[in-house]
Amino acid sequence: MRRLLLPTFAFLSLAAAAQAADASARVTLKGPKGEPVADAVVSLIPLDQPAPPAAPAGRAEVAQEDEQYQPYLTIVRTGTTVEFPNRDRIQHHLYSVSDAKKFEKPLYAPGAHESVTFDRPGVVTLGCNIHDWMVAYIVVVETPWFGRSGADGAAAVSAPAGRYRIEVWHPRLIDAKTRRPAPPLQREVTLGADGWSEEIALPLAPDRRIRRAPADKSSRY
Amino acid sequence: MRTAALPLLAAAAFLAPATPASEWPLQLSARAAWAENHSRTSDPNTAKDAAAHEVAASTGVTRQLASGWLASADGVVAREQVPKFDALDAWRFALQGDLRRKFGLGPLAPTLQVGASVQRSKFEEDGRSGTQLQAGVRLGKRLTPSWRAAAGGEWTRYYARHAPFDLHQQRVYVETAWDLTERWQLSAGAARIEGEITANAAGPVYMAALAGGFGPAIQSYYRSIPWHVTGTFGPGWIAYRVDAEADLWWAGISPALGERTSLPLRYERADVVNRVGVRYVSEFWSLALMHRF
Repeated sequence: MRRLLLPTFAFLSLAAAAQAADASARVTLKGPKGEPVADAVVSLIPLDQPAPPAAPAGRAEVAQEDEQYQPYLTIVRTGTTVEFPNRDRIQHHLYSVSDAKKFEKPLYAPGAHESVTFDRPGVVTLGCNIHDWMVAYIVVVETPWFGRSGADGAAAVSAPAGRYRIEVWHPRLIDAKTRRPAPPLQREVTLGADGWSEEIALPLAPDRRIRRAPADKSSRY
Repeated sequence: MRTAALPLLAAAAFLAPATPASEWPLQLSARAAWAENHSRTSDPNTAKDAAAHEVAASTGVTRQLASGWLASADGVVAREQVPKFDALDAWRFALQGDLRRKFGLGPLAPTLQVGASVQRSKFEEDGRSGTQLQAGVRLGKRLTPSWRAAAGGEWTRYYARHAPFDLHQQRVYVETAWDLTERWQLSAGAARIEGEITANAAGPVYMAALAGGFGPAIQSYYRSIPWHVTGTFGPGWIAYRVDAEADLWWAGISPALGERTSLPLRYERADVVNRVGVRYVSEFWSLALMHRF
């Protein structure tokens, strides 16, 4: 009986959440010079209502192509399995030392793929231990209400009216004082029928990636 | 010599069969260089400057042996031309293998690399042609994502057809590179070589040395070393081999023209002093176009 009730309850909760999703949180994200900030993750964590239902097991993909990870930023819900196909001409390694998920996949060949299930919320930084410039981020969230900012710096997340903690994170987000990488910006917001909107300035580190271009050899004497 | 090349060939044979051709990325470079005292001459009045051009192609394959352990094998083909002194035109073919240990994960993890190479050089002037064996160790680390440093040592042995070109050297070096931006990179380094180098002299200068014109110490030493009339830098020019210490330093700036292309401009100076105090100074400027496919 319980086996039947639980999925039914989960389904009804999801349906109710979907029906009540009539308010929108809109944020416009600006960088240090007032420029729009793309690829920021915006998520809403409910403070009053029960925790959102668990996500159905999902799948996502981050490919190795042209000696880069594609896409650079992926947002998934807890429990999602991410595939990492190697669509390059050369072998790639894959690792994360992030607290949210530590793993290492040894070099694997073009055409092969690996997969990892992300079972804890947090930011996971991906790297390749032989191509130092390869980096990508997987942001694992527990809430179904999340979004990412576009090229205009705007992100909109629809959710039922209520009180939320809004979290904003970007790969270059830093603490303005220490200039060190920072955890997500957090703010409590109340989402009414009219929604909620705000412009947020993000302290960001300069967009510096590790150089890829070939280096000259040592002394030629 | 042949025995030393065997492990490299075996490593290449081990790595190659399981590797699809698409895994052998090609790197091409074209370099134009200007050398002041290309002739490595101690007498500034007779030193010969020259331009040199080089094109090179290399490819290789990498395998992970265990966590943190990488093995790689590379092949290099290069053609160098010195239009003013075509006896120095050369083909080079090299096979090199490296074993790299990275102590941890991430760009900032230090790496220790040991490697060996065998290189066959075929000069227009055949006496210079020969086989070089080299072994080296290198410790490198990114101190920040945009600043990396390395130190290493190399042992080199060159077996040439004629004795003045046989060399035995040890080299230690430090080098650093700083990415000012994703496009611009500054680099610098210094090295010290101890061992043998080949120098050249105009016939009359060398004969004066043999006759004692530069003192008994030079006379005695120059009579004990191998030398050969080559004509490389002019009629009657002589190549000879000396024990020496060389201090090198270099600096460069390299714009990235794309994610796979760079255009490094580089200056290098070599200050060599042989066992009896004779000094040879050479300077090099080079501009290269490098592309990794």
